[in-house]
Amino acid sequence: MEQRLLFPGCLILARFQQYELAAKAVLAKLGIEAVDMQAVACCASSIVPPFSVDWVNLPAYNLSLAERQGFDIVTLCGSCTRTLRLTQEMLARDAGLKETVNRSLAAVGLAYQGTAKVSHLIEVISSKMEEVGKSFRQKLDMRVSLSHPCNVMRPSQVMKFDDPWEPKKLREIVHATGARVVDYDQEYECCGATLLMVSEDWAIRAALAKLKSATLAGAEAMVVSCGNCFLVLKSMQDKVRKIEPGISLPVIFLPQIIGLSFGIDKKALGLEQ
Amino acid sequence: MDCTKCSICRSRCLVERLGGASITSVLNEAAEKGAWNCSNCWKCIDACPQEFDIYNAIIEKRRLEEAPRAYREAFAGICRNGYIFPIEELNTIREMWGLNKIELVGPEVIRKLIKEC
Ligand code: SF4
Ligand code: SF4
Repeated sequence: MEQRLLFPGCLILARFQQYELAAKAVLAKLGIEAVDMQAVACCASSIVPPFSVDWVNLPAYNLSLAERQGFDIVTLCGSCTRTLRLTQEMLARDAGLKETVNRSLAAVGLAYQGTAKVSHLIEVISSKMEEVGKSFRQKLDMRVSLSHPCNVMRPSQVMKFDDPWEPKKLREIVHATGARVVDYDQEYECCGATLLMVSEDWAIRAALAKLKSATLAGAEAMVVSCGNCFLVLKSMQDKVRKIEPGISLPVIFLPQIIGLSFGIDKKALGLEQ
Repeated sequence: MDCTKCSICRSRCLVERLGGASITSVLNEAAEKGAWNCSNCWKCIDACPQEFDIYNAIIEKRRLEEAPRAYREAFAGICRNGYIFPIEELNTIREMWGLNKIELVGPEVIRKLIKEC
């Protein structure tokens, strides 16, 4: 069985265990064992760079852990994916920086080479569509809307995956579950989760725009594949309802909807505890 | 290449649409501050016809502006134990979900990697 290290990122690690659980269950059906990453740290995201000129050490640390184990990485969150890929690009381009980073990593017994590939769950699943077809058991009779994780496609010079303005891959995967994907005006807009760090009002209004537009288009659920999207679109729905009381849209993680179409037990997908 | 102040990035920015001022306003001299006002969507970068390095412009500008409280707390969290979100009870919660326990990184490693910690 192919093995990959699962890089959950601290938001999913801390709050959305159901996403990790479902991702592992679905990847296993696709022939991939998602191995836990020991001693993994925060990816650095866009949090650390303004505070530290050494920020690259943190993602390089995570990447070198994977290299030591000889595995490629599968990520669940957009920001982690972008930060890890940006780091790889910076270190491939700048030999001096790589040398400096390796001096820091030596202090914790590690070394960075640049050999571990980093792919988000959408990328991994979309490269296994034949296996998805083989595991398919039941057509899902529901209408869903999609929330595309910005950082999996953008910046496109770094991510080099899918269409940066109107991504298609998530749609292809969800199509394979038999669920009907409904288009909505705000589909390609950002969920706004990171704005929670500066203005809850902005974040809630960004989430409201998406939830309302999807609801009006007839969606019965929203499919997400990033912890941040789930955070603002689902966990903050109570606050959204303070502005627009009628909004109530279930939000489901990508591997949960795929898992349902594979006939995987709801409990194993974290849909029931 | 240099920024030509064409405002294209600004027209794609979520913060601007919500009525705020982001780095895209700063670049276009419509505001002095705003680098922290950002949803990390990177539409500005993909939209820029000059391929101007907006990412580093954001980081450099953030280093000059006062960080919002949530960012300062997030950075403090990373320094404290390696993660932004509270993670102390992690392995108990993982067990409840039937997930294996995992080893956490700890502050010693972080302090060796990020000297500002
Ligand atoms: S990355 Fe930030 S500044 Fe750029 S368009 Fe998105 S919200 Fe605006
Ligand atoms: S950063 Fe690019 S898109 Fe934005 S104003 Fe400057 S040249 Fe135009």
